[in-house]
Amino acid sequence: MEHTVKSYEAELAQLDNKLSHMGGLVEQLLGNAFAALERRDPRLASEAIASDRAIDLMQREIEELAISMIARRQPMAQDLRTIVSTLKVAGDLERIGDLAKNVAKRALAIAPETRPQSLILGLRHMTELATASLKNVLDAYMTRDDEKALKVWRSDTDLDALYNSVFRELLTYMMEDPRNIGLCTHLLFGAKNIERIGDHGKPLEDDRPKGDKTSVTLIENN
Amino acid sequence: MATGLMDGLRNLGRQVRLHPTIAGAVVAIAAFIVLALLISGLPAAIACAVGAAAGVALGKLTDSGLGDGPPDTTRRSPGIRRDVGPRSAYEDAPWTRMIEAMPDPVIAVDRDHMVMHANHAARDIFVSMRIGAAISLASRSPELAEAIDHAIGYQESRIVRLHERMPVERRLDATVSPLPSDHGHLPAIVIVLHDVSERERLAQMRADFIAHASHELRTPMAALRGFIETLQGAAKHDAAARERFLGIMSSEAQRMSRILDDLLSLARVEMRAHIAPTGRVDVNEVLSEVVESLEPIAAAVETTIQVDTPREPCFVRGDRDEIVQVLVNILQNAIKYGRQGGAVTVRVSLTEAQERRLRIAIADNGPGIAEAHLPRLTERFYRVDDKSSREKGGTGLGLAIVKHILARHQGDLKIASKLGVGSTFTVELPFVNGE
Repeated sequence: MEHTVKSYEAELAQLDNKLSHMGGLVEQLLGNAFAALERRDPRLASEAIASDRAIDLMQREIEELAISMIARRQPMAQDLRTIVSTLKVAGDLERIGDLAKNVAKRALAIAPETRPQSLILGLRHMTELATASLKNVLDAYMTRDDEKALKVWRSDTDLDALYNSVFRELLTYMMEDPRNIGLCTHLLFGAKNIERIGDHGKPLEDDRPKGDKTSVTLIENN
Repeated sequence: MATGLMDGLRNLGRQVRLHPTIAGAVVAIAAFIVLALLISGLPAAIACAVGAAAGVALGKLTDSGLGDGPPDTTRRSPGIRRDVGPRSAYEDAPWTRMIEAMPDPVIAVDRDHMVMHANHAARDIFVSMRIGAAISLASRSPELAEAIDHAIGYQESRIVRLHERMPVERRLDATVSPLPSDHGHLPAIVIVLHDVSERERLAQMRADFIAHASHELRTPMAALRGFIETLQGAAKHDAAARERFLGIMSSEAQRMSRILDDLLSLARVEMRAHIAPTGRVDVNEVLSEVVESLEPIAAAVETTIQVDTPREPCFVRGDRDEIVQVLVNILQNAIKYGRQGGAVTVRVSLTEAQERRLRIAIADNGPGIAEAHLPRLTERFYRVDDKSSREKGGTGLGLAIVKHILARHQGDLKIASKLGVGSTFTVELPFVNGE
């Protein structure tokens, strides 16, 4: 629907632009956080951690604009829904930023480790899935593409299944060789954070059963 | 949050404060009506008054009532609010034709980051880009947005590195240059992109190759050396042991060369990951060739291969050699890890969705794969059972190669399996009409 008052539409567009910008920052943070973890690069990790502040600032800007729009314009129907969902998406993005920041913090912790790289392959796979669903959900939101959004929603179980598998694998490594415990614990927390990113990447809240079974998983030591 | 609310309330207050002015206007109109009534007849006065009131009210609203938001940037929604097709409004302008002729990807944007035109090469890379919409639909890179702002603000060009991770990983150097012109019909910014994926990937590949080759070749190498030492020493004159050891050594050596082959073909696929395939491949034809080539291996374990395809040719967009490799790798797994004397079925069908895809389902009735392993199978060197995989000469790279080839072809791989029942590997590829 076209609005008779041009600046109103400009404001709605501005809201979208800010959200898109915030999405870009979050995508960058997630990419850098994992790259820092994989390459054991403390400098990149510190950069990633610092960039979370820009995301928080952007979220505040979006909130201020959205609330002032609701107050001044008293939007109805479609517009109100757009503004409110922008608020929700911005909140989710902010959480994803926090989780990605946690991954970067793990990168700082394991930077001095020299254990084999193969331990991290599972996490790389998880990050690929999380990055893909984050990108797809943002693209879907920006182009208002319902079908794409639904596809992301369904694909979250993939990430859960992968997390279950990575969880078991890391536990097995720890039992094989106690010297792995330090590194694997950090990787486990990293994996958990990435799995949570997948939960936030979902377009809408839903009642689909959680595929994450690690809270009830026990690996037999035999 | 709190500041946001405060701001909102302040703005609300501003709105309320406007009311006295409007009230003043209403009083003035009333006075005007009375005056008009006195001077002329009733009907004319009413018409006049209604007109005046409407005019005043409209003026008030547009001048100040709703117009005190942030400055009107005319920046439009990048999304649906304005339905913009793929055609550019500047399609016939000489500059767009010039951009279109360039081999490198070029995007022209206005002061508000809206894409005015993008040439063919750019549209191929950024599939979600819309002409007439914000460039952030194409790339949300914060550096790019910053470089555009910088170019507009300071009239300086900048080069930024874009790292696109989806649908294929790609690195691009974007040169963001301002055009010194205030002319509304010319772009404010021209972005020229240069794909540096290959260069970056070469460096990455070298590192990966060294790491993997040294790690994966060490085990068979150690075995070989052990056998050589035994043959030189303890088993020097034992003919039976010599025969047995040489057999194992030969299969270990073969496995080493297979690992090297697979590492090389994985590297080759990765190098080309960002170049979309252009060929047209008939899956039926490829499939019959692949099945024929695998018959001897299947016969050795008494496994039958049954193929069920539509009669007409099934074309997909793709690189023939790579499609062959996908089918060979999956079928070979089905034969190798299926049951001795089992049955492998291949079923080709078309999906009903709007965007039609060709589905190739390859199923075996072997022991199946535990659920915990399913999501990991496409990771390089991930093996469900290290020992059995080594015995069967697996390299741990087959499905990783499949995954990379499918990513390049915009395809999918789905794996379903049930312990004791069997596994099904389903490949989906974009279908093209045979013209």
